[in-house]
Amino acid sequence: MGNLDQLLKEKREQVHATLRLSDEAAERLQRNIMEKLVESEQRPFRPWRKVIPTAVIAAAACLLFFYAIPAEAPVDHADSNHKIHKQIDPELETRMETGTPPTKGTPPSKAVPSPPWETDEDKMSLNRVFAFGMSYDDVKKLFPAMGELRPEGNLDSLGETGLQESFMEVELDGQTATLELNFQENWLYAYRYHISGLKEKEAMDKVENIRQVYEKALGAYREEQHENGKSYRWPQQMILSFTALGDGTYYVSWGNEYADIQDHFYRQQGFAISEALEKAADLVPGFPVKLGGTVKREEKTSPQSNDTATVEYTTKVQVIGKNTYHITLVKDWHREINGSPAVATWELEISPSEAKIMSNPSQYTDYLIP
Amino acid sequence: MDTLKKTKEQLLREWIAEHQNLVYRTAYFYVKDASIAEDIAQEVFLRAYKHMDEFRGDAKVSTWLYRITSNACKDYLRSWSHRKLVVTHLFSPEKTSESAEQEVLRSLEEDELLRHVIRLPLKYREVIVLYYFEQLKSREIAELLDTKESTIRVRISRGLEKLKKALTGGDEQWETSTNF
Repeated sequence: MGNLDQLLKEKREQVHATLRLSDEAAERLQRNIMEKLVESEQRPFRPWRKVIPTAVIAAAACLLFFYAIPAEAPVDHADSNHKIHKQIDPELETRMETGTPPTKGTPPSKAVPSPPWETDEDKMSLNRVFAFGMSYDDVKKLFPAMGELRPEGNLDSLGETGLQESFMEVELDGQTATLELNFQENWLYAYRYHISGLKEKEAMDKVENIRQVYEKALGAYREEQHENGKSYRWPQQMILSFTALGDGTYYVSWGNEYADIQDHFYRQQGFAISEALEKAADLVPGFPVKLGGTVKREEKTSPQSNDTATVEYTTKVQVIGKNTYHITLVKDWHREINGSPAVATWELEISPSEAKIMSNPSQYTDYLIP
Repeated sequence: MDTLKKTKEQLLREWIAEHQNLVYRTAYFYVKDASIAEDIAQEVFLRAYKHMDEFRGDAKVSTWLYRITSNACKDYLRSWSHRKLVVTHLFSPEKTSESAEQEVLRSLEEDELLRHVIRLPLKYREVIVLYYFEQLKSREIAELLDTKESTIRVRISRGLEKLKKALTGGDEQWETSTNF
């Protein structure tokens, strides 16, 4: 061991010489930081300060305001003096106070009763509520308490590529879990829970309980060992994983995610979303047959006129059971007719053996004005 | 305090110039990805700037930055972005073309001892890196990780044991298994 101790000390210089930013990267780092500072100084309002027009949320916001002040308010020197009793990372301090992920102007919402959920069983069935492809506004209508969007991983560089996340706390099985939603260009591609700060045994027990619940509902899974943790993956885009964090605590997360790269695996093991979309396209053509984003087309609003509108086609997919998907196709004209949005929606249910249209729109299918 | 005479921006520029490699290096050992480490370095200095007024002048800037870096990295490791990266590697292990920077990092991983340090579980890796490569004392590590000094000593010792095992017989704990 003594020799190893010495060897490691001798590696220090090599590590320092190798792991250093190139001149170009250093220049880029400084430039990016300064640009971000200018940007943030030009941004007078923070998104979480938007007025949210419900009494429930107003009450939640009062609580949030209390929690958010230490990190987000302009520094009050008189107030900050007593805070500097210990030189700790201020972001961590906020997190310890709120028990939630770190904030960047967008504190996660505290748990408030939400209509779509009543029992723990409801809450565990995330797929009954969420569909891949939902927009942030769709989610906010279901859960007004959902926190505001922030860059994914709290990294601005990811936010700039259209990756954003939003959080809400949920009381589940006597514990507070954080519900995390991930969007790419406002397109929901992952929804999951996570619980942090668990002791090893607690985490293992929780994982085992959750694994059993989903095994019963979804069947066989694939087990994957990875650094500092383990995952269980079901073909229905469901993943359960636990990770050991460096501070001796464990982190358990579970939920659904969609990633193109896994499609070949799901095709082999079950009925993949892409296969369901191919069947849906045979019934209702024109919508995206690959998940992720929307398609926009310029279309005539009426057979008799040359007026056109930019029509947005969106495909949303809900996993409703083993190898069964509920697909919602939305054609949005982005116009209002008699004070209501002109939107045509098709609902389909697709399984390996059957593809059926559950409901057809009565208007705005081919034209805005027939 | 001398630093009060400088503007916050001047001070930030100085911190970046002086500590950018420390932050980048530390972040790399957490996230093992050069480009993410760069993003995290950016995030760390922005957080430092935002909370500069709360920085206690008699503390070492480097210690404060280590702490912010450690927390920013743990935020990232908890995030979906990281999980996606893990998943992507599981499904598509092929490497794309390497940049000059990636080549340097690859050469670091070609060193047997460093490769095993990089593969240590995070709990041990972070203390080994801070203790040996950043030459922090166990007391300082304990303070910045909010842990007891005795715990840090145990982790260093266990980390060394794991390294020794890996160097002599292989202690690969995270091979991918596919028992569907």
